[in-house]
Amino acid sequence: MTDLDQAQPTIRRYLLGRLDDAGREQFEEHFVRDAEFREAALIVEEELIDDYLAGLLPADERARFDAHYLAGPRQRQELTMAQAIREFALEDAAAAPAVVPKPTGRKLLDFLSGRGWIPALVVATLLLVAMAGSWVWWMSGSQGNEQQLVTAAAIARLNKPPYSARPTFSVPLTGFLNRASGQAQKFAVPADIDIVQLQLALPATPYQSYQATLSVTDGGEQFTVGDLSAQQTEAGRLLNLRLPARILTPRDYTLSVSGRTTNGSDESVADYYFRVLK
Amino acid sequence: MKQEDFDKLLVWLHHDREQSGQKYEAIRESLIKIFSWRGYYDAEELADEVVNRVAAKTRELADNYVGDPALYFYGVAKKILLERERREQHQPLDPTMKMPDTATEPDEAEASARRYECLQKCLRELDADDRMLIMAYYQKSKQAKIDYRKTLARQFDMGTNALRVKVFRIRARLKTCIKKCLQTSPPSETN
Repeated sequence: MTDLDQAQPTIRRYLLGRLDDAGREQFEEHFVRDAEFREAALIVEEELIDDYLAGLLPADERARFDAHYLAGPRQRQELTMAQAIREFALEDAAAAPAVVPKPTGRKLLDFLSGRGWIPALVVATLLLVAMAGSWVWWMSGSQGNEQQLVTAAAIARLNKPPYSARPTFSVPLTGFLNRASGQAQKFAVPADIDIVQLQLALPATPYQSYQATLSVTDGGEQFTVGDLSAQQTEAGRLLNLRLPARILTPRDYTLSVSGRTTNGSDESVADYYFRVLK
Repeated sequence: MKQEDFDKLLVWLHHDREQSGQKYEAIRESLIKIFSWRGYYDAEELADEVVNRVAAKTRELADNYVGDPALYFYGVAKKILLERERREQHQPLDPTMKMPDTATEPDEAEASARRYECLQKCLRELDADDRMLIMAYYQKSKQAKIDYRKTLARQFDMGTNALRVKVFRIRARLKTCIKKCLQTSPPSETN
């Protein structure tokens, strides 16, 4: 396989018209006879378009892109296609409303009219739970934020020793693309369970500590808990995340895990997608 | 081009019919790309011109040529470009000459709507994991961080190059599906 990082600078210079005649012919000969190099060139071309559309090209490269690369009609068609795919993908992501503090009435209306797997009975139950003042995601203004803080703090306590001896249900999860294609991660929480322990298989790279953010898929952030520690087991690195069972209502979730490096910066580690069944 | 010449051309490229067909397509597509990158609006016609000239010489090439046939095609392509440049240098510009109309759709709004429909259809046809990866790729790119590909690769526990290749191949399938859909979907009715 052609080394993309190594080939990229020359390919970019060619596409932006910055190679001299000899360099241009050398590139074109390579392109016509070497299938791996051809794929590398097409990858770099596509990424150049991505960077152009994302506003990541420096000014001089942007000018060359406009003046030289877009001189060809096929390139303009490629740009149009790339732009269409990008806009569709970003609209698709933006279509889910962000979770923001709202007045109680409006939030409940949104909750009742929104998408999801929750039948009317569960909705009614959740309304009662909300009125009783237990852990509910959408409350009015500052009170909603306080509830979220209490929830995050309570979950953080659950994940610190000494661990609760309450009935616990363990669920192993693997990160996106580390599991077999089509293998769904879904489970139902048994009725008599207080705590769900998500056993997250981590990539091999170790970090000082981890942070987990749980979101409803197509929704906003629910909570974040940090300062989590992974264990090294025979099966690899595992992160156990304990959650109150009652917060995992039947819907689709995304759990994003990031790791803290030795120099204090945070890096994305893995995303886990799972569905809680009725 | 005579069919006999084309058949001989394929045999020259490879004795196996299927492999020769693949080689021929790869060479032709490469030439189209090169002509287009050089700014020529008639890239496909130029590539066909190259093929015609090479096909006409296949008998001699089969007996005498040593080396990668793709490089011979490229050599002919360079010659055609040189002829073209010389011709254009000696032709005075015609002030009444119009640039060829490269628009493929008469109505951009209609084209955009059809493209959108085809996008939806083709994204749905992607494997769920592939769809998720492509969506994550664009969402990460919106964060406008120069190293978003590295971040994504780390997140998916794969090398950066492997991620780039995977994204490219998924998008290639997507674009093929969209182009096919656009060719087969009827234009919407206008009032």
